[in-house]
Amino acid sequence: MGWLSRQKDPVREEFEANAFCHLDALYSHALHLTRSRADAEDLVQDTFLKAFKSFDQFERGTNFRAWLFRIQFNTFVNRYRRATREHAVNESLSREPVGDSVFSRAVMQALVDPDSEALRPVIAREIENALDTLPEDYRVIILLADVEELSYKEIAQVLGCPIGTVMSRLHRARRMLQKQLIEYAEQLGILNHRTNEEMENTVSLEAYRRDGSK
Amino acid sequence: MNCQLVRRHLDAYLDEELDATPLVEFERHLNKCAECRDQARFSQAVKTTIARDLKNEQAPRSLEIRISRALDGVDGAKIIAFAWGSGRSTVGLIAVAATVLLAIGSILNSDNADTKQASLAANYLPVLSDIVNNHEDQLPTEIQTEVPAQAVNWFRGKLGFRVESPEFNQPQVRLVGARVSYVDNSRAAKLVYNVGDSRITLIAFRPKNDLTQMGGRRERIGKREVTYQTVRGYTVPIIQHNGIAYAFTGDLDQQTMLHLVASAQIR
Repeated sequence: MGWLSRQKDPVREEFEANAFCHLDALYSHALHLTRSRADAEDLVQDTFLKAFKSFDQFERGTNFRAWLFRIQFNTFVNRYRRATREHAVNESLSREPVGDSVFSRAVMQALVDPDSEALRPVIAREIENALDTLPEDYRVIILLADVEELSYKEIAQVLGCPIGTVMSRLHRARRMLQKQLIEYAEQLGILNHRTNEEMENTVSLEAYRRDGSK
Repeated sequence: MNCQLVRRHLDAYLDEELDATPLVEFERHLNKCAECRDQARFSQAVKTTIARDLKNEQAPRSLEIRISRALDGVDGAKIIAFAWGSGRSTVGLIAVAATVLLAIGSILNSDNADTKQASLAANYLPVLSDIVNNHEDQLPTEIQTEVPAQAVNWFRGKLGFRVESPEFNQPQVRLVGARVSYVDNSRAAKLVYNVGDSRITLIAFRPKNDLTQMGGRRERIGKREVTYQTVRGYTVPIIQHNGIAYAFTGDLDQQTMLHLVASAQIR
């Protein structure tokens, strides 16, 4: 076959040996970013191509996983996110105070499942919906910290921001998420601190979503 | 640590990013403050739930294959660029000569068979690449028909050459439609077929260079010998008939592809 029957390039072998073990993580992160399987696949392919083309720029010994996530995130931001407008919204949101310690202890206790120490199943089901209500920067940082379990230093590399920003953004993101979950719990009528009368008046979660008050 | 400080350090605590000293103080406070304990427990429950329920999903196997193919493209380009470089160095003394002469010179003067093949391949690369791009772009067909003769008629006067429609000796191959496309900056006929759930793209074009010089692999299927190229992981059989090249790209494995094309008759 002539020119195509070449041996595999050793650089490519090194790249593949290092990169393909992160394929699942990159793919599921891409799924969360793009919310579409087709877009996620395209994004991951672009990520691999870009990473391979600039593999010579990767500093051996530094964190390859964070490097791949950084390339993927940048590709996503450049291509898939309608850049300026959405970003402007996020910035204005981040200046709004989230407020500290506004949740009642009874509410927080009611939502934790004592057996698993996770959220009670009835509210755990809403976790993705709650995440989806967050501005994108906030959703991404929670995913990087909790799903991908990246360290603050790695997240800072991925997002290209200082560690201090990672910490404040993550703090804010989690407060907003918790607030959203508590609102859902109220919508679902699973918080027993509410009176029966109030519960009757509670709109169903379906109606709440349908009305688009997201 | 007071409550306010503990709340501020809560995320770092959850993410195990607290240094030893603040960690001791943090936990001391949690032990005596039920309110902060509830907040920490709730925050931990949310984190645990996210980690558990949004766990990494397995990437489809097809994605891995797709990526490998895409990497082949980069790989090939790199290797050809490299081969060109070494070809030039063998004729370094005449490097100032016109580029056309240089290209010919590097082929003639080189003892290195790889360089020669790479140079030849470089000439054909735009053609092969266009053929596969035509398959990948999945642009809609301009005419939808299952009847090959209709597609052939539709192409009349649009191409500058006469295209014939191959007949496959296999009933599961179904014509979907056709459109005018391009290969190496010249017009080409593009015919799209379905084979079960898979798609095949046929590109017919009048080659500018002699394709028999392109090399490629041959395989004997029954009475026929099929010549094919491998481009970005695709097996691309090419048939020549009356000076027109018919190149097939498909989402099928190599053997199926070759058998299919071996069964094709161009009238």
